[in-house]
Amino acid sequence: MSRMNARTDEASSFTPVWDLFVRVFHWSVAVTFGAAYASSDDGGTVHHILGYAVLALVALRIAWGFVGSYHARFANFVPGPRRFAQYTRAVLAGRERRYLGHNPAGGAMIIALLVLLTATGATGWLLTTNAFWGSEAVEALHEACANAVLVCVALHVVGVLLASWRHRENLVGAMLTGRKRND
Amino acid sequence: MQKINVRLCAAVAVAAIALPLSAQATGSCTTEPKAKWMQDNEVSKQLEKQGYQIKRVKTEGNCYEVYALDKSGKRHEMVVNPVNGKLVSEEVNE
Repeated sequence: MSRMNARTDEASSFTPVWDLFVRVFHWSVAVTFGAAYASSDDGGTVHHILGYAVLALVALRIAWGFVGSYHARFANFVPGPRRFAQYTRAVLAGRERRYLGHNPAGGAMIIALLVLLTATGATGWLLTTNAFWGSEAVEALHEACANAVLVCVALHVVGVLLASWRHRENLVGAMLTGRKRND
Repeated sequence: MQKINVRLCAAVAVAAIALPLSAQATGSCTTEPKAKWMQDNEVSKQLEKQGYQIKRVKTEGNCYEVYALDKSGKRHEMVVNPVNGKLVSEEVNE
């Protein structure tokens, strides 16, 4: 085989999966939420700005879930309860198949995170209204949502590492370059 | 088990960043022991007399932190010395 053919083979074995918006969104929401969490004790202007930034990012991601590229659209990765259960059982049995886009567990995690981030932002905003100023209940809810996001992030990282190991690929790298092995 | 460990690690990491911030945010109002503190409802009453609507009095370190609304509906976050009830600092939001 000529050198040129070999190069074409190599190039065609990787394919763009995560578009630029998805990648920029992923890392910005991670950094912005992390910074908001770290500034929570202060609860001042910086914390508020970070919280609104997270809400704006989530709103953009939801819109992108309808108009974005193939693997960014909800219709192509949000699993029903049955598909999610089947996949989870397959993971536990160590026989789950590889997905080029989000696997059903990853898809469910995205929905969980979008919902929890929205709930965290919304309850945070409520705490700045006269009606809920100083409200202990809303504050507790806000903290519970933020901690739930943190727990989900930990599970998400475990899932990414597990899938990377199981299918011999670097999924963290894929979220940076947007490209994945095509097989 | 794994979940708890991950949570613990995250909490430790966050605490390492957040603790210096919180130490800075909460000043120290008094060195007197809690026995010498005013009751939180005394602080509320005192501020209500000044026309505030008190939403919550919270103990924050050795300060009282009071969430209140004034007559024009502005939100006040007041840090109060728990021994003499004097205002240490205040943040007002429209």
